[in-house]
Amino acid sequence: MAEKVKEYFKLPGRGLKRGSILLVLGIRARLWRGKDHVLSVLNYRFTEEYKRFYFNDIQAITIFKTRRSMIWNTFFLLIAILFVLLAMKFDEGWPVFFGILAAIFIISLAVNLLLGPTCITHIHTAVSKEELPSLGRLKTAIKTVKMLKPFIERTQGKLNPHDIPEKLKEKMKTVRERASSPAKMATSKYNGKVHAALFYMLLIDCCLTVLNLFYTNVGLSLIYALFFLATSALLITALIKQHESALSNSLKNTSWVTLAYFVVFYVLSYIFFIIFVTFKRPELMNNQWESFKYAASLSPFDNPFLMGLQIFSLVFSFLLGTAGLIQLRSLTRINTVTSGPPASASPNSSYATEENE
Amino acid sequence: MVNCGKCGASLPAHLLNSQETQNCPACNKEIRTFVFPALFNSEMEGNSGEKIVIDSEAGCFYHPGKKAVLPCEECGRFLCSLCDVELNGKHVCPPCIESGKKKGKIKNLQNHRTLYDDIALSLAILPLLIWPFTLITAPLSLFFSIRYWKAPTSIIPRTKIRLVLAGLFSSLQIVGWILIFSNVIPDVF
Repeated sequence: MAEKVKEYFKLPGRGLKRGSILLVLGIRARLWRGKDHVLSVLNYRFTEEYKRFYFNDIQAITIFKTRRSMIWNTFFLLIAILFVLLAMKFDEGWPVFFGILAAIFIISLAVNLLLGPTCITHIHTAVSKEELPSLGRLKTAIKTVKMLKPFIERTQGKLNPHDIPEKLKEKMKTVRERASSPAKMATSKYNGKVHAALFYMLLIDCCLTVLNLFYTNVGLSLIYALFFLATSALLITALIKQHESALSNSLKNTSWVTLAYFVVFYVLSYIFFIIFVTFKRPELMNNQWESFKYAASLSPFDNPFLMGLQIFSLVFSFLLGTAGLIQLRSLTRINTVTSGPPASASPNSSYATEENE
Repeated sequence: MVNCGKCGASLPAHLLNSQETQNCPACNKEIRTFVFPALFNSEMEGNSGEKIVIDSEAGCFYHPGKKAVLPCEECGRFLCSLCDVELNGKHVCPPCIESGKKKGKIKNLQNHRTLYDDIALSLAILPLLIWPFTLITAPLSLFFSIRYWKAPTSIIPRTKIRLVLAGLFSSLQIVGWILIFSNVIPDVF
């Protein structure tokens, strides 16, 4: 009887697909080596999904270190310390209980330390860039790639390290030529100026809210209201501008969260106006200016609802303004690094060519 | 181009195939990159197929105006270079690939499989936590282990141990239920 030929060989590393930990038991991932390809298997418990990366098509494998392991270590350590302290505090059987719990977290910490730093691994082909969830530990990822390297090189040939800068330069030239054709420019050239203005205005809004807390003045309230309206207009412009722009998703999401905050703030302000102005002073209902003057005269220190509203506004404006500006700063930093000097920079030029040239 | 997995910035040449992890110039993340010759290959242009010049030349079955270059190794239809797809060393036409994929004949194109053995084993074991459910799940598990005994399971190497265990556990549960009923029913009547 003919012996059955083994078709796939298990590669080191196993892991869960990112984000799937929230699902029951998660989506398990493993890598297998076939005759001419790498097979990425995602196990959904009762079904499996396969992705094949042919040795001939693999252009690169990138591994970048993450801080996930460090975060888990800190978490395990803190919980273990907490249980040790609890064990010391209580008596009559509780020290044993808390001691066992502390031991579980100390063992988890030790295991995590032994497994080493975490990473995210991507496999690049001409048309795709896929994450390999099974290669989530730096040691395993490097070991696996080193195991795969001979098979890929057997198919594609070896790459001389000295040729890389020259070949990269040529490739960049082709990419730039192709990208410069106007038909292929899918994204708008919006650089985030409106977003910057919006986030600065949110921080100014913070200052105005603080002033409004301590000074009840009609003029100040009027400036505050007009400023908030202007910020709302700016927010709408920012949301329109970010559509199909190259801004990061997190920055786009910050703008959407700002919209949600504005909507909640408008609704709460309206409720405040109805409860404290319309119901308490119905005679002012038909006179908008007098109603506004009355609302402006209310001090947050005398009105808990107004105080809550002001603190809500202060916290959200500060958080969103700061987060937005930090994201914009990192985006500008990335753009500065990835595009060349301003005079010669094309939107697609890269640091790589700068380095080589 | 090879981009940083974190920030998406193009990586400079000195970071490619380095012996140690290096820092990305844009986001400062520690990164290690392995590149292969395919990265620098020029992209191949698609073949559109030659037009028929002489009347006596054979035409493609799907594009009658284009010159046939070879027959499909599955259905024998003449194909132009546009319709010719090389798969597992065979030249086939797109409809044969499609039907092969549907019928599960071409293993290389399968990207999804149902694990009936896992379903059977889960049906045999998990309901034990709320054991009255086994009255329904045990026969179901037995059905799955018999019905899908020969059905293809995972592409990666796997034994039939799950199906065997599922059959064993579910049979034991069924026997248990038979014993319960055989004791209870005479008492009732």
